[in-house]
Amino acid sequence: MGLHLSVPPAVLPDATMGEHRRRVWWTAYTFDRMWSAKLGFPHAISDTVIEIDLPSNLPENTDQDDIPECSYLVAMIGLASLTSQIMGSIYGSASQKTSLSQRVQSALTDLRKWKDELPESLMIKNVDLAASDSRACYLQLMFNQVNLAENLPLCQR
Amino acid sequence: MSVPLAPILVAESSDSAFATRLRQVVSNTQQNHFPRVDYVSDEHIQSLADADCPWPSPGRARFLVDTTLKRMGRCYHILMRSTVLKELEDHIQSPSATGFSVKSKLWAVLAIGELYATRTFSAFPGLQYFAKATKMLHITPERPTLVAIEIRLLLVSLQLFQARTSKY
Repeated sequence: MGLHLSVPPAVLPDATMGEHRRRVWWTAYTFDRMWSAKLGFPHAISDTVIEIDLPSNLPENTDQDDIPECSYLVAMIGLASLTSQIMGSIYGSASQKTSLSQRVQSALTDLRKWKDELPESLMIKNVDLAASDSRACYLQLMFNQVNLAENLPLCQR
Repeated sequence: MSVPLAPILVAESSDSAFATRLRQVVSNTQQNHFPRVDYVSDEHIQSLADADCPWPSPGRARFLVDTTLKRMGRCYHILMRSTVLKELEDHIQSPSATGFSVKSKLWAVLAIGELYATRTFSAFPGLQYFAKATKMLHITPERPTLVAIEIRLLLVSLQLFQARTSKY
């Protein structure tokens, strides 16, 4: 139904529904990228076909329970996309120009960059996890998993 | 790169090995590794889908829907809170007026709620709700709708949970 395409407000005037539609698409994208990486399967959605914007915030008078603040979703989508790129570069069967250790190194740099760019609210600063946002913990766990999967080939040598 | 040097990702089998290691670490008793073959059979899910499944009491249904929205909804945007709550209330008021797809969506939401809310279990919690929700997959909708996509996303996450839970 073309969820990956953006729909102009003239066609879909309800901004809340438009944002919901967009976020449902990005959830499907995240599932595709995250789970294909975890299960070792190729992903289904190509980045080049996506013409829709990332989730955004709606004016303050809209229901925040329906459309919560978007920074968490944007961070998660970024990690999902990065994960599939990294898994492709490390475990991909296509001939690679650089050595494995170089690729792991570059993946590590990309991951660190993603982490450094996280908004303040989604960072875990101390060991008191109970005081942190559960979503921040979730992102951290996903980050750790990708880190593990990425470093595994070097450990096995 | 020569084949023996190419890293191979063995995600599922390493997961079950990880599950064993985790059980060994958290448990005081001896834990052996065992292959996870304890999956729910297709026939069982099929029979649950065809059997009558009583709708939970309004209080329980509200609790389960709220649990799904608060737990899963916090991490993944699949549902609009106000829409689901309204659909649930409408269904409680007049069950016969609820359409097939909305009913399937509510079944899937209840299944996820049950999964989060159940503390101890022997079988997979909410399996009968899951089975009911999968009836939606028996038909290919004539027209594409967002509800159909929402249901598929809910069901696919349930199936992942199901596969993961059976490892522990």
